[in-house]
Amino acid sequence: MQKPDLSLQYRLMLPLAVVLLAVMAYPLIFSAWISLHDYRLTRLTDVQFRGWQNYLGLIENQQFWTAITNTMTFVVGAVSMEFVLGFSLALLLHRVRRFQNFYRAILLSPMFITPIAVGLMFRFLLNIQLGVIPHYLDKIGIYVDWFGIDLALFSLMLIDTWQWTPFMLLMLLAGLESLPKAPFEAARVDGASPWLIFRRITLPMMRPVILVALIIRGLDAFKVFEYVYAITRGGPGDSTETILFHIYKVGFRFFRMGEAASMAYVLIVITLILVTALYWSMKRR
Amino acid sequence: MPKITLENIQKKFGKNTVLDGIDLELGEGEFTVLVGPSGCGKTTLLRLIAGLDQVSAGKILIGDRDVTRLEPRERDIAMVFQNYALYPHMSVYENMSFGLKARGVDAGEVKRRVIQVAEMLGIEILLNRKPKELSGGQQQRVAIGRAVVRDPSLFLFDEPLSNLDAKLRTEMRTELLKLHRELHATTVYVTHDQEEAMSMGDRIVVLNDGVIQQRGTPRDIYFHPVNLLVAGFIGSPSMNMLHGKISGDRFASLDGAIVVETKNLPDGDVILGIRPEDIHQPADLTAEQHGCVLNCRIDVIELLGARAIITLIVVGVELRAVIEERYLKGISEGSDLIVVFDPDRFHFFDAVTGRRLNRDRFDEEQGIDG
Ligand SMILES: Nc1ncnc2c1ncn2[C@@H]1O[C@H](COP(=O)(O)OP(=O)(O)O)[C@@H](O)[C@H]1O
Ligand SMILES: [Mg+2]
Repeated sequence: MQKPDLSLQYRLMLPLAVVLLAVMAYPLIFSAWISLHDYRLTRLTDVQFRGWQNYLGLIENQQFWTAITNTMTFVVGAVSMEFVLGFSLALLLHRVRRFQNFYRAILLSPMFITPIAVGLMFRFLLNIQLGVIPHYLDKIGIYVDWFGIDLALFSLMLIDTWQWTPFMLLMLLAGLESLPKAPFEAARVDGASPWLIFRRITLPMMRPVILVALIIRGLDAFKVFEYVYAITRGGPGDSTETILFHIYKVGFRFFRMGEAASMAYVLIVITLILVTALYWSMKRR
Repeated sequence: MPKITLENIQKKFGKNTVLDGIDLELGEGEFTVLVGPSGCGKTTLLRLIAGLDQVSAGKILIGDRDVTRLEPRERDIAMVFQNYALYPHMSVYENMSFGLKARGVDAGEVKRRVIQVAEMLGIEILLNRKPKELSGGQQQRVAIGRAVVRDPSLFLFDEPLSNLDAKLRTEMRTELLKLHRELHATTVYVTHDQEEAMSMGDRIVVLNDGVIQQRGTPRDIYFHPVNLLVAGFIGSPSMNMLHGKISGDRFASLDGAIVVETKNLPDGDVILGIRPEDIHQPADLTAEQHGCVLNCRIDVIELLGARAIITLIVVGVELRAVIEERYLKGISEGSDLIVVFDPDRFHFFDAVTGRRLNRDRFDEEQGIDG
């Protein structure tokens, strides 16, 4: 038998490998290089090597830590609300057969709007002077400044919840419907109350689906940018300045690319640590 | 007073009536086998008794408590499902203790009972395993253990042995019977396997098309089937059926091959049923038992071991007979064979209604209408 010509395989893979290198590896490596230099778009002729200085500088950088804290608060808050709401709705809906396609289409529609449009939409809906929501709240005697210093970050979480609960719902509903029916019937005959069945049968059996849904939504929420950009621009003060918006500001408004790149790398590390931790804590039993 | 009473149970799925007018009483400690072909409504009936589905009409009583509208957990019933339905994420111990904990039995007692039952079933070394680490037979035992440990007022088994291989099946059959003898728990055992039904039940209930066809001891059902459905379903190989006519106390099959004297049977179209083991060699019967002698041609011989099933052809009609292996010497497929019948063992059924026609002493005692 003739030996298969391995070199042919590699040669066939070459074009794709080159494209991947160009669009993925090159920017990654280049940004890593940038993060080690004092690289400013305004002073490209004078790029200095700074070693770990950019990274060490972040430890002292109050704005950076505020952005990280804001982002964490946003992720935890928004994803928790989406999970609780999405799971409750999924539990309610998964046995309803009537009008199934209709309500599913309605419930899922927010997901299909581009986030920047959602941001703009809510900017007007919630605007204290023009918005229709504050207008009617005012009529029943409730005065809320949705984008004031206390509430702005929370309002962004609500918007995220509005748009992404359907995704949570979709994942969890699919999960619920793929569970085998038999253990639930066995538990009913065994004498378990609905609450006990939920705690001891539904939740543990849904564990893998919940894990995946939380990770996907968590990672996505980490990247929150559009709502901030469309509505608050990080304000009032720095109360809604999320990490991605901060990086954008430092990099593309202040042109301090080196510092921005180092933040981006720290962000990657933080995300990896969080995902791994979440994964293991859910996986363990 | 019977332990469980079903009164005129009806179950419909949409327009499709799956169970119709089921009346059943189960005495304390009785082992009742519910047998019927696939799709006849056995699982549906068990689910109604367990409370997993609601009846369309009728009543279910436990003792004199009406449980018809109660949730499963209020009925104190344990069910062993056909596919075992173990909790996949729990260990064997947790599977078995779940029901007790749900009922608020205290931890020490739970442990004591689980271990006791596990020892009884020989699964104590499996207690820390997950269901997916068990063989089919072991999962089966766990499912039974989960039911037994609760000490319920009624056990329901839904074809518990159908997923096991033949050898394990006969072993488990014996073991289940032993278990029943120890526990004396009221039990409904469902199977589609008539042989399993015959070998296990104190009492058999034959279900077909959602209607109870006959109830009685294995002997009653086998020797005195009340209609063609039961006669055809119980027994393997199944009963030979010959279309014919009775006129003036004489039965003649349509082809004229079989002619026998009858007593006290009305004239008309009938079906004559003969069990394969009631077709004999002339030497087996005394001369006065030779009601009918036939000359047949052997079509196929299937040797089972000590016995053989032979397919005979008489004037274009096929008859299946079970004979002992020693008679096979000197005969072969294609050769001729003389067989005799004992007319006392004939079953006559009305060709239109399918009901049994011949009444014998047994029928009189049971008060079964002829
Ligand atoms: N949930 C259901 N919806 C509609 N029809 C059903 C349902 N469950 C069972 N049936 C029908 O009822 C009949 C009896 O089913 P089943 O009780 O499972 O039979 P068995 O257990 O005797 O094989 C079948 O014809 C089946 O199609
Ligand atoms: Mg069934």
